[in-house]
Order: sequence, then structure tokens, then C-alpha cells
Amino acid sequence: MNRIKLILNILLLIVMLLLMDPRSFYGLEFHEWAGLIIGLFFILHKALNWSWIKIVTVCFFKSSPNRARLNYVLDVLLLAGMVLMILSGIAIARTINFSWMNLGGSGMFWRVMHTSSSFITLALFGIHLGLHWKWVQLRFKFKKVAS
Amino acid sequence: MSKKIINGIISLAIVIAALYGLSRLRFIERSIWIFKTNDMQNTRRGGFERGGREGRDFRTRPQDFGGRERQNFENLPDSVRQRLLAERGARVENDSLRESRALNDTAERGDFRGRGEGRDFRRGQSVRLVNVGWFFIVFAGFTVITIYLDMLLKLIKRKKNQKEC
Repeated sequence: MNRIKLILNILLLIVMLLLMDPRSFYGLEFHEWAGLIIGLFFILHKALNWSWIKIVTVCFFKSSPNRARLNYVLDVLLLAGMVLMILSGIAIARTINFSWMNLGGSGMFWRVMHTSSSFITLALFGIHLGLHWKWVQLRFKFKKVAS
Repeated sequence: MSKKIINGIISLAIVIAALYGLSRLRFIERSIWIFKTNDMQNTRRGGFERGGREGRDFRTRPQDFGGRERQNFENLPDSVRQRLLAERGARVENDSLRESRALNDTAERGDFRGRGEGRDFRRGQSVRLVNVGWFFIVFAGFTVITIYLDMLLKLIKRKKNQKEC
């Protein structure tokens, strides 16, 4: 299971980085399709960690350690960032027709929202990885653990 | 010990590169765009690297680029245009060059609607990962700073606990 999580996380990171500049990798078409697919990957990532989410949600105000609370808040922010990113991406999509969704708002508003939310989310991803660095070290066996 | 020093040097290099990347990508400025959407000037400028392109997507009118004058000039007959160019001492362009420049101009201002079946210039098969590399460095910078802050906080907590004991 951990191996699947690791591969999924690496994929998420690579795709996220490729999506940061729509002109970098096979143009806007790739950007828009990959942007939608990364949303599914993100949901899968959450589903794989569902037990942790459930425990911390139940015990958030009671017995959760501070670190778990910090991770939880960061995860909520990441979720909000991803939702905003995908929603604004849908609103300004050019190669996929989402006009039937009728999201309203000006193109400029959605574009600014898309840029800002993606930049902030990337920074949050970096912090998220930093807080889970031990887990990464364990997966890559950088660090020998007694247990 | 030497491993720790090497790790420290690498981390420092990543953080310095990330700081450079932040300014190169105008990361902070573009992150807070959403909080000052009323400031239209900010959204019209910008993009990747200096004088970048992304912000230009907002410009749709040719007059924003001083393009009207150039368009009129380009609509002149070849003979007249060449004479005028010769008078100005500029390079004389042939039609294909003019056409390619016009396409580039269209691409520059992101005005790619109406160029046949909704296809746009961004659909090219190009792979240019320079910006992706900078984003990766910025991402790595955030990660490294978080790791060291985490370590620092743990160290402070441990020392505090030792004192209490």
C-alpha cells in the first residue's frame, strides 16, 4: 500500500509541476486534461489516507496531537486550493467545452483566481511534503528505523 | 558529520536558488493577485520571466499593443511599403516574413480565438521545461525550509522538556 501511495504522490508532484506553466509541456490541451486528471489523483490520495482523515476529524478538538492538527489544517487548505484551481480552470478552459456549466464571473477574475490558487497550492504542497519528510525518507529507506 | 555538512550545503543552495526562483517567477506577486483583483494594472502586466506572456492574455484589443498603426502600414501595397521602409532605412520584409510575424504577434497577445475550429497556438508539441524547473526549485525551497523549521521546533521542544525535568 505504501508503495502505491509513494508512486501516486510522485506522479502528483510531477504532473503538478508540469501544470504550473501551460506552455511548458505539450500546450494547453495537455494542461487542461491533466488538470482534470490530477483532481482525480488528489481524490485517490485522500481516499488512500481516509482512515487518518476520519480519526483526526473525530478527535480534532479533543485528543489529536498538535502536529496532526497542523497537518489537518494544511490538508484542508490544500483541498480548498485544489477545488479553486480546478473550478477556475474549468471556467477559463479553451480546449474542453465547459460552457454548459455556466460558472459566470469575468474571465479575468477566473484567470487571476487560477494563477493565484495554483501558486499558493504549490507552496502548500511544498510545506506538506516538508511535514511528511520522515515518511518519504522511510519509503526511500534513507533512514534506518529500529522498528 | 561530513554528511550533515553536505546536506546543509545542499539545502542552503536549494533555498538560495528558490529565492531567486521566487523573484524570477514573480511568485509572491502572482500568489496575491487574487487579493487585489481591483488593481487592474497588476493583472495586465506580468507572466513568465520578464515581460512575459501570461498577463498579455488579458489584452484583446490591438490598439493596446500599438498594433493599429502597424496593421495599416502592412495593408499598404508592396511597392509603397518597400519605398517607405527604404526611406526609414529599415529592413524590407517579404510577404512570408510578414505573415509569420503577424502569427507571432497573434500568439503574443493570446488572441487565438477564431483561428479555425477553436485551435490555438498553445497546442504545439513543444516541451520547454525551464519554467517547470524553476517551479520545482521553488517547491523544493518550501520543502527544505519546512524540514529545517520542523527540526528546529523539535529541538526547542526537546530542550524545554529537558529543562523541566
